[in-house]
Amino acid sequence: MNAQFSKTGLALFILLCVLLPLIPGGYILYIFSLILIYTLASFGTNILTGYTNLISLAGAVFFGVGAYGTSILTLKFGVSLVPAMFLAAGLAVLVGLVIALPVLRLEEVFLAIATLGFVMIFTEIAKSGGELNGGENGMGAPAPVLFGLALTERTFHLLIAAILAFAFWVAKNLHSSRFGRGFLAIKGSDIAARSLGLNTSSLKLTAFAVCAFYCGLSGALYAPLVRFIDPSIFGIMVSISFVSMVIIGGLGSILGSVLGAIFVVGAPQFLTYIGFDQVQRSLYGLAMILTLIFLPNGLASLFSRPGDERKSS
Amino acid sequence: MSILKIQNLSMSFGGILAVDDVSFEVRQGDVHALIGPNGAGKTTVLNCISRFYTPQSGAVVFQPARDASTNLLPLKAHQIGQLGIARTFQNLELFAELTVFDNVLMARSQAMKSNLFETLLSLPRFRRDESEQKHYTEQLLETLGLQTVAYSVVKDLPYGTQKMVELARAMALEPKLILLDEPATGMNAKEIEGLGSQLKKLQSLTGATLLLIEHSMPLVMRISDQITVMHNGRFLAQGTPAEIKKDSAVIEAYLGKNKNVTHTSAVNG
Repeated sequence: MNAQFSKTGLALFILLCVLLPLIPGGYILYIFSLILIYTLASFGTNILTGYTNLISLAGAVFFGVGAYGTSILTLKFGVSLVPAMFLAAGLAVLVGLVIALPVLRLEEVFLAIATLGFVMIFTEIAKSGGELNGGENGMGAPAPVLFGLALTERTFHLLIAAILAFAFWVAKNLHSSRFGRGFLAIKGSDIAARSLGLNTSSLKLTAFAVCAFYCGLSGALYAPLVRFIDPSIFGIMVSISFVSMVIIGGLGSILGSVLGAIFVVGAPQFLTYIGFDQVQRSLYGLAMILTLIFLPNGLASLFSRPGDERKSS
Repeated sequence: MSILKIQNLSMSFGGILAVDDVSFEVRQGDVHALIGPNGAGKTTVLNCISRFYTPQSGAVVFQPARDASTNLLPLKAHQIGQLGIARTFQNLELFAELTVFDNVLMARSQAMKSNLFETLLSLPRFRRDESEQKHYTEQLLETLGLQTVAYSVVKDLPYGTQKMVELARAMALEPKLILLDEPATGMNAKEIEGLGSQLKKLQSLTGATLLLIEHSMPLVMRISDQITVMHNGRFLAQGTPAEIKKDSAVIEAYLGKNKNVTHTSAVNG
C-alpha cells in the first residue's frame, strides 16, 4: 500500500480537477465532472479488485442500477434527487450481494467471466423495461437539483466533488480497519486469513457490497450529468474501463484510483482535443499498453519514493 | 485434563488412506510433539483439526475448560481460530506484502467489535478498537523482541525472522492451543536451539498448549512432555521422550528391521 495520497497530492487534485475546470465551464468542465464520477467507481473497484484481488466485471451493472434507480425514483416516484441517488446506490448494494453470493467460490478469470454474464443479463432486463425505463429507447434523466434549487453545471460539479470527498474519507476509514486489512489478507493468503479467524466469505461479500455502493453512486451522479440513459451505455466496455482504471492507476492504491480515472476518462478526450481525433482510440490503446509495460505497479508508482512503505495503518 | 481429543480419525484422498483410525489426546499445558517419517499423515491430522480438510470419519473434540467442549468437525476453518486454536504453517503463510505490524494486527480482528457502519464513519467504538488493538500489537512485538522490524515488509525479512513473525501472529490470537507445523524447517542447529527456548518462553507466557509436528529430534526430545508417533497413517506409540526413545516399534519404523545402529542415537539424531 505505498503511494497513498499526500497532502500536496490532495491539494493538487482539488486545484486541477475540482477548481480550475470551473473557470472555462462547458465541455472541459463536463469532462472533469466525468473524471470525478469515474473516480468514485474507481474507488469501489479498487476495494474489490485492488485490495481483495477479486476481478469482477459486474461494475456496469452497479453503475446501471445507480443511474436507472436515480432516474426512475425521481421521475416516476417523485423522490428528491440526492435521497434518490443514495437509495439507488443502496439498491446497487442489494444487487451486488445477489451477484456475489453464487460466484463467491470463483476466483480470478473464472470470477471475471461469471460476473460478465450478469452484465448481459442486466442489459437484457434494461431493454425490456417498457414504460418504466423506456426499454431500448432509453429514458431522460433528472436535472441536477439540491434542496429544490436547480444546479448549474458548476454547482453540480461542486456537489459531485463534495460526495467524492465524503467517499474518499470513507475509503480511508475502511483502508485502515479490520475490514480493509481483511481484504488484503484474502489477497495475501486465504488460508492464513481463515486460520486467524477471519470469515473470508463474509469479507468477500462486504467487498462486493462496498464496491457496488461506490459504483452505484457513480451511476447515480452520471445520470443527471448526461441527462439521458439507455441500455447500450451500461455494457461491458464500462466494466472493462472500471477495471482498467485500477490496474492502470495502481492496484490497492487510493492515489492510483484517482490517476486511473483521470487516464481512462481524460486521455481519450485530451487526444481528441489536441486534434488526434482520427487515431484517438489507437493512441489511447497504445498509451494503455505502454503504461502497463513500463509501470507494472501503475501510475501511482511514479509518485512513490523508493523505500516509501506503508506505515502502520 | 485433555484439551484436545482425536478419536478414530480417518481421512483418505482418492482411495489412499492418509490417516487410518488415529486416536490420541493432548493434555492441557503440555508441549506435545507429533512425529513420524515423511508421509505418516501428520500434517493431514493438523489440517483436519484446522478444518482445512474434512475427514471421512472420526471426531476431534476441543475442550479448553471443564465445562466447554466442542466437536470441531461441524465447524468452518475460521471458527477454529475464533475458538482459540492458532496455527503456523510448514512453508509459512504470511501476508508477504504487509508489514510485520499489520500481519500481527490481523490476528487482533477478533478482539474488534465495531461493525462495518461504525468503521466507515469512523465512530468512537471503531477508533477505540483500533487504538487498543494497535497498542496490544506493539506490546506483543516488544515482548517478542520484534519491535525493530515492526514496520518492515515481511517479504524483505530473513527466513528465520519470518518464522518468528508467524509465531507472533499466532500468539496474537491469544490461543489456548497452538498447532505448529515443522517450526524448525530451514533452521540450522544453533537457530533450532534458540527456537526451543522461544517455544518454552512462549508457552510460559501464554499458558497455551502446543501441538507440534517436528522432524528435528533434538528439539522434540528437549521440549516435549508427550510424543505421539505416527507411521503409514496409523497411530504407532505415545509416551514421554524417554519412553519413546526406548520403544521398539518406533525404532523399527524409523530404521527398519535389523539395522546395525544403536537405537537411542537413531531416534535422537
